[in-house]
Amino acid sequence: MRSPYSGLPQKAFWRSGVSEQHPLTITNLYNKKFVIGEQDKIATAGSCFAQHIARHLTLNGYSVIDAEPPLPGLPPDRATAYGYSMYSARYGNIYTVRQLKQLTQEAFGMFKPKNTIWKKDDAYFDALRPAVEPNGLRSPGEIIQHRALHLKRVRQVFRSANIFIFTLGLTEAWIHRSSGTCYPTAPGVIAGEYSEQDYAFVNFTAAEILEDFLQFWRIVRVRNPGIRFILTVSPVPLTATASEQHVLSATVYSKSVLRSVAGELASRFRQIDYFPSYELIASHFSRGLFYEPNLRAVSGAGVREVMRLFFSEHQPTKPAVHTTAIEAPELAELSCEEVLLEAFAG
Amino acid sequence: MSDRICVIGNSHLAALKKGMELPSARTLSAEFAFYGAPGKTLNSFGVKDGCLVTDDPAALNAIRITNGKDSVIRLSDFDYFAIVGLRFSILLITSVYAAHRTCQHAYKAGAQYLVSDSCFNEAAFGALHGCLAVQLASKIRTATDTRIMICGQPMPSESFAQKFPWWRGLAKSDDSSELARIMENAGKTIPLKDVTYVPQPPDTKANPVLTLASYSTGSVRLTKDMATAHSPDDGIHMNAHYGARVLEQLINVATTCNPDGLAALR
Repeated sequence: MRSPYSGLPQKAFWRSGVSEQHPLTITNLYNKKFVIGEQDKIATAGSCFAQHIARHLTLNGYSVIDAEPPLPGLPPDRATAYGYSMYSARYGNIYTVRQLKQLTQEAFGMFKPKNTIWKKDDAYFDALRPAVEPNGLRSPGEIIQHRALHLKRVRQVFRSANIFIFTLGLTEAWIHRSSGTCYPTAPGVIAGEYSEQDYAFVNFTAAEILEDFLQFWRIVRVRNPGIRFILTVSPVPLTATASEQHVLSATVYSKSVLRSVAGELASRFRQIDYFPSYELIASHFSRGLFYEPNLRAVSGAGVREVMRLFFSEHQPTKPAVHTTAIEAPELAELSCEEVLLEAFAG
Repeated sequence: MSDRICVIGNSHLAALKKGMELPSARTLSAEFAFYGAPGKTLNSFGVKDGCLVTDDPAALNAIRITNGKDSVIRLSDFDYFAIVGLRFSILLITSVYAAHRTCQHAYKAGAQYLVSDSCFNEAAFGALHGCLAVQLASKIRTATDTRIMICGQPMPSESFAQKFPWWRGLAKSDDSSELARIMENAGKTIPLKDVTYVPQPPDTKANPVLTLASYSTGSVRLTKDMATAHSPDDGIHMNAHYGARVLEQLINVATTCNPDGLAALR
């Protein structure tokens, strides 16, 4: 008797692919779609979990673009506090694909975001990356000057990257009603003042996210035709939801939508690969093993397993240097604006 | 008996040693013991049994040569320590300023990256507080409560600005005062107990970030015979006259810190 399942590899079956595997030794969960060459320049962006990927790629000898390097003398923990060494430019966490699209549109002069300067006490903040200057700046004029130079670096990143690794983090976001400007944080969390009149909550659908990504790609492709993508979905749950759902339901919904979009993009385009860090950390296969006790933050062990899985397919160009300097950041709190929402829990 | 000041430094120590040979040094109311070695080798020193020691033969040799007898620095032998040079320098601040500037900087048009004042200051302070001079002070502090003075590297000479147009531009701009002020403030906030920053004698400066050329002409290398001149366009090292001014400054600062010590000798 013939069946389409006859002769499929072990990974295709739950028993051999999952039940009989251990999270620390699972094989064949990821098979790369393309090679990352030694000469390839990698750009990274995304939600806070993506910071781990960028850091480990650098430590393992990959050429990761840093278009806005930290100031000499700034200690590493302070550099992170100022938005340095997290991603390929100092854009902070990009939680949604809408943010990514708008950043690219803005960088190449196709979109002018509105209401981008928020205030807290006497300091001014760039609403599109409010965490990169934790003490804010002195005037709206400074925000404009800083942003203009930042966008120049963003253009460099998208023009020069061969591989762009992006971690999809959230479907929920806050937008400026009249202009559609999408923010990484809600007004009033780091700076700014929330008003229903000016701001609206959105929970992007799979179709919207897919279209946003395709538009983003079109903009970049004109300037950088050969760029390829590795997409991941952040396994970090929502800190809070404004969707009126329970935060657990909202998290599962959000991650499911993002996983669906990433999967569709990877299945449709040879230039887009999907890396299943989400499955390794967040699925019940791992029994919560890779989360910290709050069931939200990913543990150091989890990050190590994710990177082991990644490097099992993309062999590092040089051996990893195992020092405390490498271990420490995994255990440290990532720079993650979203976690600030905890402050609003009752 | 005079108070004893242990002066440890890198190549900038030569100016102070030469300064001791000037007639004006005869009136100095303290006894100085000099210990010098290249910065990298001084970094190899650690504290053991109340002494600053190293396993590095080159460092030991340099210390013995510059001191004239000892290759071991017994911390209890001294009433004050002075650390000279060892990269506590305006050059560390300009390495920050080279690419990163704030909107307050006059030269912000040349910035590759703009940052906030707080970010710039943290980086500049971080660079200075992490330099070899402060690291050495930190090691000494683990073994003794004796006051430590840190003399920063002198500002580059006016000839240095002639060699580097970029520096010339900085020296003429308002940014020079700001960078010098940051260095001063970083000196005042060294995060170690009883460590005092000794600023460059103001009358040796041509402007906030340059030393008068007359203080750099004839500077010598820190060698056994102390007779090898730096190249004329060195611009970083100073001469005996500068060294003598710093020695006076050291005594002034020590006096201020401990009026019952050196002041009582006068």
